[in-house]
Amino acid sequence: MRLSIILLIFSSVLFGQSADSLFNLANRYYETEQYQQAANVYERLSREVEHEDLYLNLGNAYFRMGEVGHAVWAYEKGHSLSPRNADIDHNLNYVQSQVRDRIKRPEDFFIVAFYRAIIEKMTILDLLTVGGLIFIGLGGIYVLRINGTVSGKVGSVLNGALLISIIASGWIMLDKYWDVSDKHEGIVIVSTVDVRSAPIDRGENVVFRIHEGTKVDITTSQPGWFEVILLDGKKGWIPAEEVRTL
Amino acid sequence: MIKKGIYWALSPFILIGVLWSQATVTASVDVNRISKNETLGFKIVAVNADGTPNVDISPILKDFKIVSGPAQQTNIQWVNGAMTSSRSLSWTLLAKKDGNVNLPSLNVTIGKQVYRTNAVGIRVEKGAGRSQMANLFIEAKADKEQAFPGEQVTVTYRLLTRVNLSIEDIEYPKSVGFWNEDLRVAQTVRFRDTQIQGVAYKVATLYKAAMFPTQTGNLTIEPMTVICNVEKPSRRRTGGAFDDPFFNSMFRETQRQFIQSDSIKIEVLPYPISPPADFTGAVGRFDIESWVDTPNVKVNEAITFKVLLKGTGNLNQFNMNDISFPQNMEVFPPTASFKRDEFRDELTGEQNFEYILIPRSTGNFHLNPVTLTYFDPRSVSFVTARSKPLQIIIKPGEKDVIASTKFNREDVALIGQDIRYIRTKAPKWRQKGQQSIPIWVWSTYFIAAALFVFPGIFTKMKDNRISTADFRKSRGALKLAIKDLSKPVEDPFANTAMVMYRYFQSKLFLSSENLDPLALEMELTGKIPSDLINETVSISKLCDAGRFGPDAAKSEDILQSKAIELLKKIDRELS
Repeated sequence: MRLSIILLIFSSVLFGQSADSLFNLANRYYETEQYQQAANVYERLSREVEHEDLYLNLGNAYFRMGEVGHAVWAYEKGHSLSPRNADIDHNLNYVQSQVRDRIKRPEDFFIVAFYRAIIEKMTILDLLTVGGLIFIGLGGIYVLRINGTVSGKVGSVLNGALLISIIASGWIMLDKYWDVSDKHEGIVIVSTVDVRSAPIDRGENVVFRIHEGTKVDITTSQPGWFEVILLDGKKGWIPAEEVRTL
Repeated sequence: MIKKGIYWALSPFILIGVLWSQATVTASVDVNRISKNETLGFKIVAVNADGTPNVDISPILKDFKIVSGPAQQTNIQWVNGAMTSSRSLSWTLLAKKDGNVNLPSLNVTIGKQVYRTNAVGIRVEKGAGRSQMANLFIEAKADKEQAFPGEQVTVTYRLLTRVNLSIEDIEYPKSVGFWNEDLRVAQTVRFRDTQIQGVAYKVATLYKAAMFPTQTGNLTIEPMTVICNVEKPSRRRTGGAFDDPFFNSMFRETQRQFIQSDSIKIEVLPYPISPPADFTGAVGRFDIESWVDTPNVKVNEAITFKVLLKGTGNLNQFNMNDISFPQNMEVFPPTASFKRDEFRDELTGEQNFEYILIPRSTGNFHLNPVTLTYFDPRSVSFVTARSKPLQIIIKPGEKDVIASTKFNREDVALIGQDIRYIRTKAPKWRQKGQQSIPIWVWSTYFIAAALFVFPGIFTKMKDNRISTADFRKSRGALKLAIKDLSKPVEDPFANTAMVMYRYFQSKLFLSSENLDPLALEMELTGKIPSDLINETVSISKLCDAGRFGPDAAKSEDILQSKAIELLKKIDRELS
């Protein structure tokens, strides 16, 4: 038992080192403008470990190679890990400005937009921490009330506010969890994709056409095909190999 | 009757037969000999054509200029039941060159058929000889035949006439390779009387221009064309009620006439000497003056620096040499104005430049002379005109304003956009798919839970402590008493008494505040042996008596230790 734990620690230290050296190797490739090799090493690394910086670098390498789709994919991955990373956001925005499809999400009511921004900018961990901090606040109020430092009326108001916020943060957390666990998204990685009305490759069933780097929601999948829906609600089937799932 | 019916029945075919008879196309001119400045009427007639003739006129444009046309005319004649139809197109042409000129054969398309006209030979006599004797001509004259680039060539166009006329339109000469400055454009034509070789003419200057060649080589100023209505001598000369000069002028018949001047050839020579480096194309004679409005100013006050360039030549067609201003003097771009002297044939005028200078530091400054290098065609040499140098004295201002006002703060402008660079430092890796919740997230929940749970436990403990307080006090009574008695004090009698009474109060749960030896004896009776009671009472009595008692002096030192021994013994009995 003890031996196995030691082994585990040892291997993780070993692996950590090799991950660092792989990362440094890839960075050197990037610095010498060998973007293809750099991307390959980053990709290999991303199979074992994950970190937003890794995806930032991978996205940069792909972008320098002209692979806009893969670059968007990598930045989106990094964004989901660290939604408030300014560099990833900047690069993602910049690369998205070079994507041909301009799909506009319908305008939301401002409260909905605010809620969406919260969900978008927070990870589950962040929400969990926020919930914990509010919980501590609630506990503090409880102690102060028992102690008599806080009078009954003020205490109850504070109590109520914190209770509501704890419920809200809990709900948001749950929503985010569902969002993350249920959502399947993908990025188009080939220059042009014909979106078809059915998962059959026939000339006449093309309904619209999307381009590299466009983000799609995958609603259903069949062997070799994904049913996708765009942000503006357009729906259709595309070959699975032309999309890289997030 | 039958005969008549047949006739009627056949008539359409007869008509068609007539119409379908062979069409002929001919070209003709109204006159075969013309002088160069005279126009020529050219006519193409298609007889028996069943459609409008379409003529490709382009071949004649080589030697002729179309003044007007084509005018169309259609004639239908019935002669003895036979119909002749003729359609004609006519032009007014002006010959471009003299000598024998051919009006070439032209292709005329009627319907789907193509006909060719006959060529017509024209003799154009040289204009000059005849025009002197002509009633009407334009004289084109340049003041020189050779010029340098930028040197003014004055061109004058004069209309000389022996007939009454009115001018309808003037086509001014166009010229390639010249900068053209109009000197005089005739708004209303005024005639003067003059005589040429004894012949009286009326003369009017139509146009005068200053032409400045911009390139070297043989350049041509194209001819000027004037359309005028010329009065014809009246035909009704013989008798009649209206044979009167007054009525003659009323019933004047006029004829449109086109007159063209000769073209002028100018030979533009290159400069005989290679121009100096600061030569910017000024040709003529120029003078430069410069001055400032005030030579004494304070720092940050504006000075107006004026440059006046005046002279004759191709003004407006060259740049002034750059003026080098002293450093730490802010210079605003100049305003320029140009004033031309209207009453001279040579382009003469003044050019004014006004610079605003703002000195940013004190001192004496020299403003360098303003120079202009020009080519003087009279002396055939390059001359540099220069103004006098100026001196300005800058005194310190009222307040010292920071000198560097040259830079305004501005937003950082984005020049280009790109992705941000990669992260080069290896991060703390997370194993893929093993995202655990860090300890500090959990700890917030633990702390919160603790905050809810601990107050309850705390209260319970506090209650417990309160309920067992007396018991604990009685248990700790001896310890406290020994501690208090071991300390050396000023008044051992009072202290010993107080400690002893407090011990008994705690140990025996006595509530009464004031104990005395008698009450103590009563309380202790039955709980401890009587010898101990006696000893206790004696000690307490001794203490009450205090240091003023009979044995005070000898018992003072041992009183406390004695009390400790006693209390130890009593405690053993009581517990």
